[in-house]
Amino acid sequence: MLGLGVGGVAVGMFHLITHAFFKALLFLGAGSVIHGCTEEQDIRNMGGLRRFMPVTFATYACGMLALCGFPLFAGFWSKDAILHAAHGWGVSRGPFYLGAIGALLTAFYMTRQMYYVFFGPQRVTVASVGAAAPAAHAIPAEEIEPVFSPRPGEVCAIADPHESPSVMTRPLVILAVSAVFLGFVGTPAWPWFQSFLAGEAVRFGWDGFGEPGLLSLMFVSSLIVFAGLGVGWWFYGRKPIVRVTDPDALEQLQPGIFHALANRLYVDEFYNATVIRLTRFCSAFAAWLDRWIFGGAVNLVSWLVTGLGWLDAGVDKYVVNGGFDEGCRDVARGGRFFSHLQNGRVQNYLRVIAAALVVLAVLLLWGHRG
Amino acid sequence: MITLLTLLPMVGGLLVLAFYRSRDLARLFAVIFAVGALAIALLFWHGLAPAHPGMQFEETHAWVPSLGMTYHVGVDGLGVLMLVLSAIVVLMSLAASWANEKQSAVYLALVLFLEAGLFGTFTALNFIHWFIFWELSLIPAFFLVRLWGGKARARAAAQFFLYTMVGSVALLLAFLALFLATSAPGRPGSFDFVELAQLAQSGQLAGALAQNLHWFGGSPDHLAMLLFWAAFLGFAVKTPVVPFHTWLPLTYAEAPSETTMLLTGAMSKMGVYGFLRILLPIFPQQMQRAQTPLLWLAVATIVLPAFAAWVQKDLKRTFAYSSINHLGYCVLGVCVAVKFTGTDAGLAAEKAAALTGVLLQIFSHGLTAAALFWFVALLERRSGGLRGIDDFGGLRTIVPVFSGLMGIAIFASLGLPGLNGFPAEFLIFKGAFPLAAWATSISVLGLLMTAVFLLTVIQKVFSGPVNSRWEAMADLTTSERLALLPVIALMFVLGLYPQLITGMVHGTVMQWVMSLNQGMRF
Repeated sequence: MLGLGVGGVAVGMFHLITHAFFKALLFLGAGSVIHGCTEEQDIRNMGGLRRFMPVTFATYACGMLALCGFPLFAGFWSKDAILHAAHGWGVSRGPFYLGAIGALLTAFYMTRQMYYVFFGPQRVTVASVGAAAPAAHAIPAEEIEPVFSPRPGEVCAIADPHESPSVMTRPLVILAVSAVFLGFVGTPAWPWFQSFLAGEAVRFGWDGFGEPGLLSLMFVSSLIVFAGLGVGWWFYGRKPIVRVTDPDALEQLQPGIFHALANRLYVDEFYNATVIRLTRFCSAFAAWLDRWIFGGAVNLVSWLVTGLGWLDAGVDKYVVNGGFDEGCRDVARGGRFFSHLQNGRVQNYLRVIAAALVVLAVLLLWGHRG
Repeated sequence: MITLLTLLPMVGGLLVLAFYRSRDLARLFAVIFAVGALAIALLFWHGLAPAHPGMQFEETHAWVPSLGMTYHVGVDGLGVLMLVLSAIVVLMSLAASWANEKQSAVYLALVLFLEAGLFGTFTALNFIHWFIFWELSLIPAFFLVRLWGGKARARAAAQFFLYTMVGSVALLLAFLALFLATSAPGRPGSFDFVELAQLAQSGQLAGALAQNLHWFGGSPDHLAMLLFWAAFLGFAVKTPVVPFHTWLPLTYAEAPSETTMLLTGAMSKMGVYGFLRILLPIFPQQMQRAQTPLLWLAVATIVLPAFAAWVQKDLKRTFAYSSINHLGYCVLGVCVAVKFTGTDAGLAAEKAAALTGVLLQIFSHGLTAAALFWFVALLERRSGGLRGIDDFGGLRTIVPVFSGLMGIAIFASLGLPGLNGFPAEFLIFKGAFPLAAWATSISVLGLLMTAVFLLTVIQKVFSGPVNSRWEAMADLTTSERLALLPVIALMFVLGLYPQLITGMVHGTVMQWVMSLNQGMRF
């Protein structure tokens, strides 16, 4: 990507191709190592595999050196071409220095990994691979070499690291050969690959190295690689890593930086705290909206309709029906009252008639006199 | 021919009812009739002339001439697509019910009646005739939810029925107004979709509204807008469009999963069908004028349910929200297609892409969503009704075939290239982006969230630590695998060869685009 960015399209492609080979080699090698250690992936639980898996070791070393850009390996030619392009980029020197630092770090961490995995005493234990591992013999803790640091009385076991079958090692060898020699299709002396991309005829000539600054740059980049390898050796190679629990050399030196790096500079945590939390919030908000606003509106309407229904029923029952019932009761009361007038008792009738006669007589008499 | 198609499941339903004593016989008859219906629907597919615009296989009989009611049926690319989809989904649902003893002969008969309602809705071209089937299809659906649903089935069924009714009533009023507007002295008005569409596109409908209806002193423009929103409400509830969707998660979750297959696979498409058959041809200017709010609704329908789906704890509710989200893409596709900029004939290609995408999405979502709920039904049968996302874990190692096939359906749902969801959503977005860039850009969030919540389902149900409770869970039986196989195969076929559908609907889409571009030009 750096190559493309600084305008070196052809060299970028070149590195892409060589990278494809040695990175494939490294991953297959890693697979072989993991397989050989019965599915162990933690490099702290490896060590000394050089003796058990020689083919894997040799091929992996080729891949590692190619990746670091060790002189004459594939990565050297392609990486160097990119650095050269970056160095000649008119806009800024920044990418060049970044690339150089990257190369230094690559050499360093690959060296560290090599020492962890292939050098020093063997540290594969059953404790680290699970009790059911097939290639293991149970050994009482007391008989085990102290490098495994078992607790006393604990039954521990050593797994048998073994070389992978040829179906795994053969591709490794093929890729290792490519990792060593593939770079020669794109050297300054014979830039076949670049010419192929540009559609030009390729020509051979040592004067390709004569380009100004190229040789010194190659020298510098080799120095960088050696520096990386040297620093790696300084930290991890001088004395063997003995115990699984030994702290990392870097950790002893700079625990703060080591832990920040071990936690991937907290990038995951950063995403957790920002993007994922925001998404969770949006989701909760959408669900809340559904439940209380949209659903709430529907429920409100349904309550309103139900309320109207009750209101209507209430009006019917107490106002309309109530008025009607009251009217009916009045009529009934009136009827009951008037029914007293004709309750069939002849004495009452005679009494009323007599009273009426008296009133009539009084009125007549009064009127006559007036 | 179309009449025969609609009658077939109805007769089948009655026959199934007659055999209610023997469930074995009943289910056999039900499947035979569903297969027959699918065969006839496929004959329509085969017989349709794709390049021919307009309706085909038409039948017209006078019914109640004085009220403008005719028996008028016919199909175009859209109609055939819906018929085939309905027939497939009904068959899938019956296959899912096959071994479910709780779902008696009456259940199967109701499914067939529902199929008849769907066929009627998707072929009728006269509003009254269409409306009868639109409402008729609700009744079997109501009873399927009400009688065979989960704990809250009574509430769910009532809400589903009433909410849809509210929309339908608004729709009915709008069409009565159109009928009144188009009637002249001595001549009844029109309920005919084709006729109304022609009137609308030639501009006569607006004139008729101005002449015959002047309610509350509103201008004809306002009146036409009012009618549009009333009709819109009917389809917005059915589709559903946010914020008219709240009946859906409850109903989908409470309905038996085999019924949910029908609801999401076929019935939810009635809403989108209404958008395409009624709103787009009859109210193009109104849609164009209301485009901004419509696009907002479409965006809300895509984005909000996608977010809400992530926090659901019930698989069926998750897929229910996912269903709303997927239909949101259809609404988006329809709403962008009405954009008209005056001179931009070049946008015709984009409109065609969006509308073709909508049709693909209708079919593809019907297939995928029905399949997802089928898998939920299979899972429920094995788990004794449990279907919480957190109830499972590590099923991948216990029931690998089930997990694999359901995984394919989930990936189809989230739009993985190669499966049926991808060409549909891709075409919609391809068409929508040049027409309404902002709405499309926001809608992409919905795509992203769909991936998030569907992968969460995979992670929690299929991966992770094995839940020891389900260690004895049985994987799919041979007959279940055989039943699912054609569905999964169809997902791949449509994903790799969408021309199967796009070729069939091409004439219909082009006709829409042309009439849209003409109808806007005044």
